[in-house]
Amino acid sequence: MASVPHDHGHDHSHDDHHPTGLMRYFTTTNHKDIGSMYMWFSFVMFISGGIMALLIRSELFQPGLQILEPERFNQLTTLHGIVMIFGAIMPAFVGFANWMLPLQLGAPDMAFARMNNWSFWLLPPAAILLIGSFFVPGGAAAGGWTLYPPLSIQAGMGMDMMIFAIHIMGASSIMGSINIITTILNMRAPGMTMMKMPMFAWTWLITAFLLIATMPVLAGAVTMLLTDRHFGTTFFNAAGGGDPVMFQHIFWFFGHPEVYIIALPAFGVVSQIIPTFSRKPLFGYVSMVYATASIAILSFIVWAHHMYTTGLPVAGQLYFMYATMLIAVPTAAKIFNWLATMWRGSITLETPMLFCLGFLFLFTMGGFTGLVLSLTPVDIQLHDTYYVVAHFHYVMVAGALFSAFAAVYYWGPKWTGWMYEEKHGKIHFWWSLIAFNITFFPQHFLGLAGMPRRIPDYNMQFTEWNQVSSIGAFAFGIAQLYFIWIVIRMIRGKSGIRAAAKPWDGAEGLEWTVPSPAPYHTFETPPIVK
Amino acid sequence: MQYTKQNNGQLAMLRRGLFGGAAALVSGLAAADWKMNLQRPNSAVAEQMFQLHTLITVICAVIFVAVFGVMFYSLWKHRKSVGHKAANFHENATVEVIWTVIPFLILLVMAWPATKAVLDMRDSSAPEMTIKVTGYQWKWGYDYIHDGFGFVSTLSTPLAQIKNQETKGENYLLEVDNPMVVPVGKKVRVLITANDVLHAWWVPALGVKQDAIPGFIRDAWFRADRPGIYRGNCAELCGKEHGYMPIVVEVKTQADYDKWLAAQKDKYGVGKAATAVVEVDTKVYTREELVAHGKTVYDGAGGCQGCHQPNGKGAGAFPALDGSKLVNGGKAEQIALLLNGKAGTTMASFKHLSDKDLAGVMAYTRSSWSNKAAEYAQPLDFAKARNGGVLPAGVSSAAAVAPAAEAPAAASADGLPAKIYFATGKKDLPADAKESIDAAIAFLKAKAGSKVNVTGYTDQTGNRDANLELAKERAKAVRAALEAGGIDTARINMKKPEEVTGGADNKSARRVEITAGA
Repeated sequence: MASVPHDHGHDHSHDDHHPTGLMRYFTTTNHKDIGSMYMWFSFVMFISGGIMALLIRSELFQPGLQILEPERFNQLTTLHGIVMIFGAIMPAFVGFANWMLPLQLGAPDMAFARMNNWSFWLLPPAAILLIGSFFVPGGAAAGGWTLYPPLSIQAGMGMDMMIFAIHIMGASSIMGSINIITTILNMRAPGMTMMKMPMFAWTWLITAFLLIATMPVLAGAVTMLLTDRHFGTTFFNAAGGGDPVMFQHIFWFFGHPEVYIIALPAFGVVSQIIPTFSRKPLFGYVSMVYATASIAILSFIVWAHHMYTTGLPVAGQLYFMYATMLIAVPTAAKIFNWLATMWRGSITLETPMLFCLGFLFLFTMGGFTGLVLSLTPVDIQLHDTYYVVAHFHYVMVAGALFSAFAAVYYWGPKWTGWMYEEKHGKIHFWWSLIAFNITFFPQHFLGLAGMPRRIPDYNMQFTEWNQVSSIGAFAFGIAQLYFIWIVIRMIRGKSGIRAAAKPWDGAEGLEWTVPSPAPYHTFETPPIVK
Repeated sequence: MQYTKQNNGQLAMLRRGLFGGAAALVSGLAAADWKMNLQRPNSAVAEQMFQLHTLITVICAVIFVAVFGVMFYSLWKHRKSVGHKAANFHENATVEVIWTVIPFLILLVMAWPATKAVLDMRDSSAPEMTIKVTGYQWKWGYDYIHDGFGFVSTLSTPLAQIKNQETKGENYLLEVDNPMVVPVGKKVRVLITANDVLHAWWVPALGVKQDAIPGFIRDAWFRADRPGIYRGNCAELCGKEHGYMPIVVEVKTQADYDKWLAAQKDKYGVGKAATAVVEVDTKVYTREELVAHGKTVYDGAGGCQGCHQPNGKGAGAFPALDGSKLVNGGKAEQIALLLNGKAGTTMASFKHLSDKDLAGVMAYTRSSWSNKAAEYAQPLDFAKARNGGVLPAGVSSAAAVAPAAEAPAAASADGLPAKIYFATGKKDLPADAKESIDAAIAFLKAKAGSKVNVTGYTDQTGNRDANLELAKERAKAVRAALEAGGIDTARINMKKPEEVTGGADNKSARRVEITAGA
C-alpha cells in the first residue's frame, strides 16, 4: 500500500481505497458489504429451496405419480430442508448481524474482518456442492435432511457432496460465531454495558454460543457417516457393534439447539421492532434476556423428543416429555412480554410491525402444536406425519422468515437510503400471511388423518387438503417474487422518499444516529453511551 | 380410572362440538373426504392418545383465543391513529411471576394424563400372542413365532393405478396381498425389527408406531376392540418406495381367527411330516403364458419394477435387467438369485412368491426389452431349486414326467437328478424310492441310448472304509432296482463320488443320486 499515491488533500475518508467491481466483493472486509452478500446469497438459496418446494407440492397436488419419480421426490424433500435451513435462513440472520451489530454496538466493524470475508466465501462452494449434487450419478442425497443411517449409507455420491457441504457450512458458522461473540464482548461503545445492549445483540450472542457448541457435533456425526460409508467403520451398523439410533442422538443434540439458532435471532428482531411501533420500551428487558438464555440452555436437554418412536426406555420418554413441555414456560414469557409491550402503547401498523404481528400469531400457533407434539403418546400418532411438517413450518417460516421480512423492511431504509413503498409492503404481508396459512394449516389435518411425511403419493382421502395446500404454496412462492421486486424498487429509490437517519419515530439505538444509507465506514470514533 | 371415566364424557362432548361440527359443515359442502382429525381409535391406548390430543388442542385453542383477544384489543384501542398516547411502564416482577407460574401449572395438568398414557402404552407385559414384524425395503414380514409360520406382506395396488393408467381403487396404496391377522380383544405384542434400513410400523387406529431398527428388536403392543380392517403406512423414510409399503391389520373374531390360523398352518405345512404332499405346480406353461403372467408380477405384487424400473433399466444402485448378463445367461443362476437374493445388496429373497410367479418373472425378464434369452424356467424348476435340486418328496413322478411327452426336447431330463435317502447304516432300498427309480426308468426309456449315473453316499459318522463299502452297497441296491425295471446293466454307470460323506446334514447325506449320464 506504500506505493499507492496518497492524496493528503481530502479528509480521512477511506472510501476510495477498496477495489471496485467484482474484486471489491471478493476481497472486502467491510461488514456492510459482507452483510449484503450474505443476504443476497440467502435470497438466491431461498428461491432455489422454494422451487424445490413447489416441485414437491406439484407432485402432491393429486394422488398417483405425475411429474416426479419417487427417488427424485426424496432428493427434493432432502435438499429443500438443507438448503432452506443452512442456505436461506441462517445466512439471512448472519447477514443482519453483520450489518447491524457494529451499528448497534457503536463498533467500526466486526472484530475479525478478514475471517468475516472467509466465513462468507465458504458458503458459495457449499451451495454449489448441494445444488450440483442433483446432476451427479445417482442424484442428490435422498435420505431426508436428517440423514439417518443406514439409508444415508446406501446412498450415492450425492450424499458425500452433502456431507462436505455440511462441513464447509459448519466451519463458516463457527467462524461467524467467533466473530460475533468477540465483537459483542469487546467492541461495544464506551458506556454500553451488557444490560444496555439491544435485544438483537443479546439474542445473537446466545445464538453464537449455541452454534459453537453444536456445529462440531454435527460435523462429528456426518464424519462418522462418511467413514461408515467409505472406510469400513461401523458406528451406525449393528452388525459391526454400532447402533443406527446413536446417529439420531448425536444429530438431534445438534438438531434441537439448531431450532433455536434459527429462532433466537428472530426473537431479537421482533424485540426491536415491536417497541418501535408501539412507541414504548420493551416491557421486560431483563426477563427477556433471561428467557432467551433459559431457552438456549433447555434446548440442549430435550433432543430425544424427536425420537419418541425409536423405542426409548419409558423413563427416557417421560423425562424428555417433561423437559420439552418446560420450554413452553420461557417461550410464553416472551410472548406475554411482547403483548405487554404493545399494551397501552401508541401503535402504528407499518409493514415491519405487521410482519412482527404475523410472526407472533403464527409462531404461537407453531408453539402450541409443538406442545401437542411434546406429549409422548400424542407424538406417537403424529411423529413423521404432515402434522409435524405443518408444525415446523409454522415455527420456521413464521419464526424465521416473517421476522427476516420484518428486518428487511425495518432496516432496509438504513441500508439503502430509501424508504420502501408502504402499500406494496402491506400487500406483501397480507398475501404472504394468507397464502402461508392456506399452505400449511391443512397439513395439520392431513397429519391427523394419517398421511405420513416424505411420500410422493397418497390415498385419495388426502386429496382435497393436499390440493388446497399446493395452491397455497404457489401463491406463497409468487408473493416472494413480489418481495424481491419491492426490495429492488427500494434500492433504486422508486418510492421517491429518502430515508431519514431515523425513519421510525419510535426507534431507539445507535444505528439510527448514523445517516441513511449508512456510510461505508461508521463509528470510526466510538460514540459515548450514557 | 375415575379420572378417565369422568373425562370420557366431557371430552367426547368437546370433540363432538369442535370437530364434529366442523367436519359436518365441511362434509356438507362436498362429497369429498376433508378428514380433519385422528382416526377413530380401536384400542384403549389409541383412545387415550385421541383424548389426550383433544384435551391439549382444546386447552391450546382456549389460551390462543384469550392471548390474541388481548392483543387485538390492544391493537384496536391503543392505536396511534385513534390518538392513544403511549404509556411508559416496564418491568413488573409480580406480573412476570404470574405469567411464569400459570403456564407451569397448566403444564402440570397436562403432564398427568400424558404420563398415565405413556405408562399404559409401554406396558407390553403378559401378551396373549406375539408376532414378529420385520421391515424390508419395501415390504413387511410377519412371523407368527409361536405358530411356526410367517409370510411377507406387499403392496397390492397395481402399478397401472400409480401411473394413472387405471382408476384408483378405494384403498389405493393402503392395500396388501397378505395382511397381518389378529384376534379381537387379545393383547398382541409385536416385536419389531428391520432387515436393511429404518422403517416404522404404524397403525393409527391401534395406536402403535414403532421404528424398526436393523440389528435391534423393539416391542409394542395393542389390543383391538373391534373386528375390522385397519390400515397404516411405513412412517420412517426408508428409500425410494417408502410411500409404497402399507400395513394392513385384519382383526377377526376369535372363531374366524382360529379358522384362519388353521388354514395358514395347513398352507405352510406346520406340524406335518416332512414327507407329506406339498402342492407343486407341475403344469408346463408356454413361454407366452409365463411372460404374460410374469408381467403382472413384475409390475405388481412382486415389486420388481420398484428397483429395476418398468423399463428394466434399473436406477442408481439398482442394476439394469435390460441387457443383463445374468438374465440372458443360464437359468440356474437366475433361479438361485430370485430364491435367495444377493448378500450385501438390496436384492432380497423372493421365496415368498409362488413358483409360477417366479417362473413368470423370469420368463418376462428374459423376453422383454432387448432381452432374448433362449432358456426360461418352468414353475417346477423353482420347486426343485427350493428343495435342493430334487423334486419335493410327495410330488408324483408321473406328474413330473408327463409333460415330457408333450415337450420331449425341453423336458427330457425331468425327474433327474433324483435322490434316494437311506436309513442310518442300511443299504436296503427305502419305501419311497420307487418314484425316483420310476423317474430314472422313464428317462432312459424316453431316449434311446441314454445312460444314468448312480452314486452312493453316506453320512460322516463311523469308520471311513465301512462308509465306502456302505455307499457302494447302496448304489448297487439302486442298480438292482433299475435292472428289475427292465433296464440294461450297460446303461447304468456306477460312479464313485469325490467325497463319500458329502452333504450338510446326516439325514440328507445318506443317499444315492441318479443323474442323467452321457
